[in-house]
Amino acid sequence: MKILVTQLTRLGDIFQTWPVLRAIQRNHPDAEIYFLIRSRFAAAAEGLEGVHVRVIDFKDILTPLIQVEPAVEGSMNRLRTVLDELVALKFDRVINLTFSPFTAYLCSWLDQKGVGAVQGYSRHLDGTLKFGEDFSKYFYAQGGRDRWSRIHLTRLFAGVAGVDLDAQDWRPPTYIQPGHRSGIALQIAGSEAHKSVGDIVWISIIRELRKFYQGSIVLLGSETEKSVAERIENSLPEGSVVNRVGQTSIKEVFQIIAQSELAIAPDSMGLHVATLTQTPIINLSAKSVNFHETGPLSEVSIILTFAEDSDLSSARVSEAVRAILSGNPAEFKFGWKRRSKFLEGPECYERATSERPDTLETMKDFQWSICEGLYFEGRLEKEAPENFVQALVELFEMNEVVLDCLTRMSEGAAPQKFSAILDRSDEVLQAISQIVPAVGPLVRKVYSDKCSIAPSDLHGIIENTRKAHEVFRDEVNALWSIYNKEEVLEAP
Amino acid sequence: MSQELEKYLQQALGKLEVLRRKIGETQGYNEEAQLVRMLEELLKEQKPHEDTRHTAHASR
Repeated sequence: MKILVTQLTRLGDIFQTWPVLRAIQRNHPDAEIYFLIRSRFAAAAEGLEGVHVRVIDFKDILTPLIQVEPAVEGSMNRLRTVLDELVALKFDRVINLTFSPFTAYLCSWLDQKGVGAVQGYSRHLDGTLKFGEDFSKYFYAQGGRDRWSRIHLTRLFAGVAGVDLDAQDWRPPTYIQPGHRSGIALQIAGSEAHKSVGDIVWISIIRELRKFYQGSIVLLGSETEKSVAERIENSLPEGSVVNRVGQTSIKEVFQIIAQSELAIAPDSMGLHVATLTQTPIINLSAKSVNFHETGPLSEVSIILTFAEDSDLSSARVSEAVRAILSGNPAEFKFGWKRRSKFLEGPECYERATSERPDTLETMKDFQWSICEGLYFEGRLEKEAPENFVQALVELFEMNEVVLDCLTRMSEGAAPQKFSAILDRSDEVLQAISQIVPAVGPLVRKVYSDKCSIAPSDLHGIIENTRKAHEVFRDEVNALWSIYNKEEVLEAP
Repeated sequence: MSQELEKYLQQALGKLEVLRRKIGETQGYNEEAQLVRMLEELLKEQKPHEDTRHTAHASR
């Protein structure tokens, strides 16, 4: 059997896919596994055993188009060549772990050419989005930036691939030899500017560490972060750090982090390398990052969140370092910590007792609990945010209007009469969830349920849409009865 | 991203959109239309970052 796994995003997602590839190998020991990644990130697959790496060069495909006189035909030919090469490999299965519009088209193309069934995003024959299984539909509805999902991407990828993960799936590349760990590795920048920590903070953290830590402190980063690293180095007493920023290959970063007794990193390659090498880590996580989805999975992981640099006191970071180096990370009372068991429950982290969540985090706690209730039969928060029950009433009333329209259409009324109302209804549901974000998971779920309706005749589409709205009504009703502590809502 | 590159991207996107509409009106959703959609999506992924590092999660 030949399996194609596509991961066409960036370094972080590629590293988070490694355990899934290993799980696929374990589940299909005789399969030939191909891993499709972007050519500029090919180095991120070095040392990954047992897979054929295929690369796709976006720049090459787009070059004819990005000219003074765009040559569409040239780019189309290049793209077609890439697709033809993939089709010629005659895969039996395609596992798309990239939640992007482009890969949905790409995998749909492969599907239409008779290449095996697609798991993950694809497209129906009319070009509308198609979910190959429930996990990608879940991510579409509840995952991604600014949302509330608390399922780690690696585990979500495993769900899309239909495999169970095992602790042994997190292991370093083949070129890493186990050995004695010493020193602390600091990745000084995040994968994007808004995820990074300022040089002043790093200087303060290193000064604090140097009060008790005599081992080496190695700075890591890319070529573009050299000037920041120099500022850090020049602001500290000579010999305080070993500055390797802009001087390391991915292999060398793996070697340095795998040999360190601790890594400190924002959302970055270093974080994922620490996870694969099971290096204890302190993740400095910007509020804009959903660390539940992309955070560290090292057995010893502490996550310190920050909205502004000033939130990260060097004393607090130092306290976390001391807790980890002394072998008692459980003693650290702030931030979030990795749960003790590797694969326990959908939520990977637990908040330390002294961490007081802010308003936004409290809202996300609630939204996540609604997700758990809707998808995983999980617990619900005891108290709902203000206006939640009122928003449920408004959702219910709008939904009744939609159901009425759909019932009349299924009884033969002309669809044109109702199309404007139905179009507006989605906007109204969306507007309610913007005013009262606590109902966001509910609205996103019905939206994804409707998105996943396959093309068919008008009657089929009406019936399936009606079913989606009936499920929505039941869900709204159930939550209303829990939080309002009364019976069911009546149709207006 | 340089203004010049952004201009080129915008121009290419405009050209693809016109072509997609034309194909849609005359041939429907066929292979050519799919190739055009793929190129459009690839271009959109380039827009936030010149270095093509735009995460795909933000857009669907």
